[in-house]
Amino acid sequence: MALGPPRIGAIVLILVAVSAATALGLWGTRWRVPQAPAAGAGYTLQDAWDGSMIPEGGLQRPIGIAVAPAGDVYVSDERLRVVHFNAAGEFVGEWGREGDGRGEFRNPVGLAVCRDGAVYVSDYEQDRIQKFTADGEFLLDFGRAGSAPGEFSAPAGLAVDEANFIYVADFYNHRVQKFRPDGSFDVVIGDPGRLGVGALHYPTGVHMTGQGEILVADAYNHQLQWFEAGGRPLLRAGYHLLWLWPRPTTSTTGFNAPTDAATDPRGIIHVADSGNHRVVMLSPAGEYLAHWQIPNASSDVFSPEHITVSPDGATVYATDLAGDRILVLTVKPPA
Amino acid sequence: MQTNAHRGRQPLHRLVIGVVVVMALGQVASTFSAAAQAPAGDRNQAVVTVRGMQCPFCAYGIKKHLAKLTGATRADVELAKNQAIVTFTPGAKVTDAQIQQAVRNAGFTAGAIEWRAGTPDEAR
Repeated sequence: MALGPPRIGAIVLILVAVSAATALGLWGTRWRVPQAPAAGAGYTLQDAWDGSMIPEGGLQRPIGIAVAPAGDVYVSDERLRVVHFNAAGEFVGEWGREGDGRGEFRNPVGLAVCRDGAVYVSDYEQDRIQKFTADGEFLLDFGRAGSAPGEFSAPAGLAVDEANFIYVADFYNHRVQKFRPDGSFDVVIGDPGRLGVGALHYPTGVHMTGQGEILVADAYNHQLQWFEAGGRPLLRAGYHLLWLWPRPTTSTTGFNAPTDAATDPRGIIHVADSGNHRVVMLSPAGEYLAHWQIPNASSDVFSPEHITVSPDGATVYATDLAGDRILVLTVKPPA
Repeated sequence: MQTNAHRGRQPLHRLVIGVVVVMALGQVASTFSAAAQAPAGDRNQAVVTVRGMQCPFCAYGIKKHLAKLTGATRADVELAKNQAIVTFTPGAKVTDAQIQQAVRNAGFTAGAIEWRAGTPDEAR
């Protein structure tokens, strides 16, 4: 069937309208797609902690990890507990058991530590967040199953800002939620979606940058997204087909299911690019600098899952769920 | 008198009706088949094949959705084996279709479902 001039005109009009809408949708976004490697930047595997010295048993499928201001490291694992190590990897203590009460877990997945040393734990199964002292004494909890504001459907990664507001990557609700220090709901950040600014698809990690921006591991949009603390989208990094459609890639121009990210005092970004079994280093602007690949990683399980940085920025810690261990990497910043 | 055009459409109509009937029969057969595969006797553990379950967050999501099924006492996932294992109370009324729906709600597609006798400890 031949298209007459009026029909061609209508199609052109639609294309122009869609392009204009897309341009408007992207307005305000600073694009930074990783580009070329930087001289001198990289990682060295310094150690791997398996927790074999822990009296109750070594690490089993560790997934959550966070560093305290003094440098201690907290890890959550499938033994339904939080394990406390010092910066040298020595066992300090642990808490948690199976159940739904205070200090009890069903699947502790995300961890965050605030400035005073208190530890937040997200439970993927219980749809709640619990707060503890540095030694594991219960302080408060909040959240329940659902999709309304303040409710969760599989809360994953956590972050805490300077004012002790808590940020939660709400996996099945495709959003990040912000809570006040007392656990009351504040605001929703991001919307469910695959395209456009602020669209999130199964986010798994969230981090507060030194500049007070929220960095979200938008895992199944295969990208990182930055937001203002109030929720306005700022920036995205990852591979996008035709500048629009987020796609996984094995190259250094993007990610495959990035499940977490953390920044160091220099602003350098460390990404758990789990589908590619690697840790990726990005500049503060979101440009590719270097990466480190897990040797002989199993293709059956994505790893690393969550990632954190020591207070001095010299060491990156990442959970290797498939290897039942914590990867301890020395950071070599770009020259 | 029928035109050539009408004569040409008749086989097409028959084909469309045939396809619709076959699809409807398939749906009915599938429903009965799912109901028939509900656990009987000591077969209280379902081993569900789920492809593409490499991500722990996704696997835990599947586990969570399966654990919510009526009568489920435990759900586990084996990433390396692409399997989810759900243990039900003896006599639980659950169908393959309900298991498939739970996996779909977690964002995946269930493959083969095998029923066997088992205890929660065996699923670990």
